[in-house]
Amino acid sequence: MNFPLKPAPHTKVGNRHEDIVATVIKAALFVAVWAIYNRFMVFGIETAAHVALMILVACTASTIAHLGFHMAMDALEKKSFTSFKERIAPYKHKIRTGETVVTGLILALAMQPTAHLYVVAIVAIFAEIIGKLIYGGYGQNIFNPVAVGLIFNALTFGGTVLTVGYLPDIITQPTPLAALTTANWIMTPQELANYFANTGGIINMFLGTVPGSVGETSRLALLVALGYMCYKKVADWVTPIFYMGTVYVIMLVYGFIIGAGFWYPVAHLLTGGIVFGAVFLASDPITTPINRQGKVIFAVGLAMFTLLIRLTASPTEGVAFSILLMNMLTPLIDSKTANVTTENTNKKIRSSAIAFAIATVVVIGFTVLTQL
Amino acid sequence: MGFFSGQNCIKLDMQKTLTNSKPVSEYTPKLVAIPLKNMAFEDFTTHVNVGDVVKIGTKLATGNDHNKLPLFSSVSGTVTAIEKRDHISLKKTNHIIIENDFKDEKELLFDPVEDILSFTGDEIKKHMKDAGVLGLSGSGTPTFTKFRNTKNVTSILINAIEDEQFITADEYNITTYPALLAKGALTLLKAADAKECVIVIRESNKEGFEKLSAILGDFQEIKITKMPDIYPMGFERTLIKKIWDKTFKVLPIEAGVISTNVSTVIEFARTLTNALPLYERVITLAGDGFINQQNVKVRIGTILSDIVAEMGGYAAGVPKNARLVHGGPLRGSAVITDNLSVTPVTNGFVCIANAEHEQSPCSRCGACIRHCPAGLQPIQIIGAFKLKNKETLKQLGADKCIECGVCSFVCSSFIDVSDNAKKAKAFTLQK
Repeated sequence: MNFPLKPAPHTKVGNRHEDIVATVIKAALFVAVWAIYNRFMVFGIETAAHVALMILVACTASTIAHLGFHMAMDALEKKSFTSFKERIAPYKHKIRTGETVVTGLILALAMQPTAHLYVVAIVAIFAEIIGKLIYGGYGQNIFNPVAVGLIFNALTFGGTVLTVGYLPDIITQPTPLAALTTANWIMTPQELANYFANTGGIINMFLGTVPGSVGETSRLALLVALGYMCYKKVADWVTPIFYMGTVYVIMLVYGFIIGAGFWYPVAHLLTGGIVFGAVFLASDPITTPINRQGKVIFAVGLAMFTLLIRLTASPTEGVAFSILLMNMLTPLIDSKTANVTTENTNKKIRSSAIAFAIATVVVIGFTVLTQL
Repeated sequence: MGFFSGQNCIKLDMQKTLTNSKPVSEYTPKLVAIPLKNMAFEDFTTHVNVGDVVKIGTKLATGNDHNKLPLFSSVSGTVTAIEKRDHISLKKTNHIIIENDFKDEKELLFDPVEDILSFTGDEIKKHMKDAGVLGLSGSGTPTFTKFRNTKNVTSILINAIEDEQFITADEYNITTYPALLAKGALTLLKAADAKECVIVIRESNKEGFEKLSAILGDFQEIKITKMPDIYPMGFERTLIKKIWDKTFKVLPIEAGVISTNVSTVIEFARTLTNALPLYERVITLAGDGFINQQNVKVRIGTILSDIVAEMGGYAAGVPKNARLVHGGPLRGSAVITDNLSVTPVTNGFVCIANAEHEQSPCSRCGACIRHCPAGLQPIQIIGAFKLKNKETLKQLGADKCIECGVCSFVCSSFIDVSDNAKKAKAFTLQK
């Protein structure tokens, strides 16, 4: 009897490619279900239905974009098919594993619940094609497709506030982030306490029953999703935790400098997309450095850019912008951390410490300078 | 293990219970084909012709180099042919085919003694060479070459880890012949004039540990050390670093250690007792491709397809998408046919019914980096190797690869990482 010839090893353990995609989808779906339930409890059935529709539209749009792009490419290469079935046969596996919906799903979670459905569809198609497919698809993209979609949304549809007719007014009230921005991020402990009281309290901000993007508001659900992805070894905990940790520490220092007190960094973590960015964007292995040392530097740099954009510029999509900026630096970080991971541990700790020090000095120095 | 390097090993489901709890069956074949090949060496002078009558232990051939490795008959019977056949190395090799007459007549190498511990060190080394004792772990190194220059040797390491999945041939030998192992260890200590002998054993092999400790209680110079159930653990380099905190460049003897496989020691002790060379051994047939997964005691030179037919054959669907592996699934090599004979270094065959996976692009999940026992970045090494960038390869430590296969094993995209890393290592070491 004859057997095929292949190199060792001959069995496999751990995640397969499909498992990684499936785990991310499960984590994102958990956040989505939580978000829909939250909207239902706080704002009523119409908002919840709209959020659910947004997610559905985004997933469908990115799948259609995926198939459409490949069909267009086939047409350009003048491939001939006898039937539609044969045409989509190569992509059946991708659809089954969920590779085509993952971008749209996460993108829908990052958008404001006030978005029109056609906006969601356009943004999802843009993210899928420009963010992922033109580079060669899954694993080849250098920019995070979700961040690309969010920037596109902010630049094209973000200028005007789109409200949906049938939604109650409550959903268009300022988000906690906007409220904090209008105060120019400088607060006294008293103002901070008032702020927390006005926005519904720390607990509600943590649970997500406040206005904000679809999946961004519930930090609890996001942390559970992160825990699940880390437990399944799909995401490395280093990037998200160091990202949030760096934001916390730098803002703690800054909070003491401006006299805002101990709860100031908490306000930063509980507003905007920092936790969402940490869980779903910074943990993406494709567009972030591959080894632990690089991940630490990436996370620290990401925190630096996020806080710089937040404190000195517009807060709109600050996380997405900083993700793209750090995505650009990823190949450089990878080539500069080309070493043996078990050697020179002290040097690695030193490099991380230097990166952290630079981030702290830049953020605080720049912010203080602009406020003079 | 560390923050920057990850866990540097993998915890495996060893799948040992598939075979280690079952009784061992015995199979004596009608004909055997003794390969005239050991490792890459195949320059042998034959001492028999077609039609000659041989016994168990009759010398069939001798190697034409300074090792003078002898090959012996494993059955009594008639030589029917000397012909080229498929070999586990995938190359056609000369085999001596012997038809078994089932009389099991024996030709002794020397006069047996009552207690093998009465041999002197030089006698032990002489018998080791004359009996053609080989490293049975899969390397096939003639064991006496390790005992040539024993001036600096302080310790002997007996490797009973067997960290491969499925294979339980060593485990069977340990639990069945602990007394032979103890005797073998003592003779090796005598041959090398060493002071201590360490037997390393897997944590989960509790039965073997108990049986060994019961016997070894009397011997101060032999110690047993347990090692955790992780892969890779059975590498000489890893073990010597862990036990004695010593490193070496090429051979463990540089660190004053002679390292042998546990089955080698047991079979050598048996050779000294019976005055017969290795003529039969236990091999493991495992994997879902076989209907009966179990250990079988067979003669050297038995044809695998005969054994499989005797054991119940292949599962349905084999060989489409199946893979037949000589040795364990991690380090073993795939073979293209089952018309192969069992060699002294064969510890088992694994047949995996469905081993076909579609390769997808690297998703940069970093699993290969977190699991690499040498702390390397395999996927980065491959990238640098594609660009033939020797400088980056050196920075990445490509020459430190221990070729354990973990990176391919954990790869989520089914990329042949370790195969390419091996090539990158060779390229880096090139001048």
